[in-house]
Amino acid sequence: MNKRLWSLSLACNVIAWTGCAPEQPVVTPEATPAEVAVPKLAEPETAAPDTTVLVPSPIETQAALAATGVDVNLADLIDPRSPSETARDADRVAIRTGVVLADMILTVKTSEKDTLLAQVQAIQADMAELKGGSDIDATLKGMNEAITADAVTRDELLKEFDELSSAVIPELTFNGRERIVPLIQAGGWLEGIHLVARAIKATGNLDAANNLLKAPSVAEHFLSYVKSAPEGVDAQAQKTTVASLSALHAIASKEAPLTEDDVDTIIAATGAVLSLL
Amino acid sequence: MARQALALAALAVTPSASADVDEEASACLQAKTAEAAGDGWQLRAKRTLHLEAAASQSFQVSLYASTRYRIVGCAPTDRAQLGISVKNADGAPVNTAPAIGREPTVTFSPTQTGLYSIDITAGSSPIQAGFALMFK
Repeated sequence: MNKRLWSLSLACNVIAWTGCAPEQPVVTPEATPAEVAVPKLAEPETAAPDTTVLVPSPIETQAALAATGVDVNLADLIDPRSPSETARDADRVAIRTGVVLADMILTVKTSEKDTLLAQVQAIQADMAELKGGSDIDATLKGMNEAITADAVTRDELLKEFDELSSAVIPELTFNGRERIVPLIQAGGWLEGIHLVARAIKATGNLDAANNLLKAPSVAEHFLSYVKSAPEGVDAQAQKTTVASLSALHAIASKEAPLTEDDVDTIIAATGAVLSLL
Repeated sequence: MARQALALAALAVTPSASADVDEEASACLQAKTAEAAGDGWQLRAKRTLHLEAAASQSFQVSLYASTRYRIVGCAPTDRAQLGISVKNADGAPVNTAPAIGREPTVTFSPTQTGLYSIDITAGSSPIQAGFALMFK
């Protein structure tokens, strides 16, 4: 490309970004000449980082596991669970919602209809307890009816559950309680880590452990919420959750490669939280 | 029919400061993610946000090294501009130049599992925009 034209193109790109009329033609270079600087954005005002998209989806984790050579279906490792009658404080209900949501997404294509309905109803009950609002209640009720009537395919349901987990629930406000969405995400993340660690344990693939389980920032992020629990949260459950997340943070922060003992610790730490729910 | 009812119910719970523009961004994202799904991309997250002129919002994301990611943005009007850049935990850019436009797209594969930052930046006008993070 003509160097002058390229310079004009760059100028136009910069101007277009900072406010020139959009109808001005923009010439895109076929390749960036080494001697020309890449256009930079004006220094923007930046708000505090948003963490609502922090954690991977369960399907993403399953795909990453497969990509590292661990041929285990996470859905096969999910333990059947019933909601605890005593876990009624909002923190545990939120974490439990995330766990059930993750399980539901991982198993939707193969689970029995009754199991699927029970999962949707459990989330609906927990959403009501968390004061998620009438819209999410109507959404879950609609899912329940569609499953009952066999009016929706499992592929369609997977997309709906993904949308629910990745776009709908994170936008809810829960009566101004900002900790609820992160704790729901913490539940899904803990379940994912637990299942991945068990899959790695079963296959002995420690390379996968180093690739998938080293996420100290994520553990630290959730730890900050659990540590700052409001009054009414079960003290013993909070203590266990803090200890578990601290253990996960310590292991994920290791510079040395993870060992089988580390994987065992991860399974035990995540299992301790899951057993509270 | 049931599929449509579920999707509509889901849309109904999305809060919005300026409903029309927000719906425009949401509809754009819906179309973009549906199109990408045909190529095997799966949805990780989808957000709409309001940005003042030249303002930026960062989203922290934990990404896997062995996975391909695509971020698509949607600015709702012909005049609106949106920029997307991705940085690693050290602040180094993952995409060599920010994607800029009305519907910018960034596709990349992280070399390391860890924490990354997606920065969404407005041009010279305030915008109600959206982005979707997908993987495959």
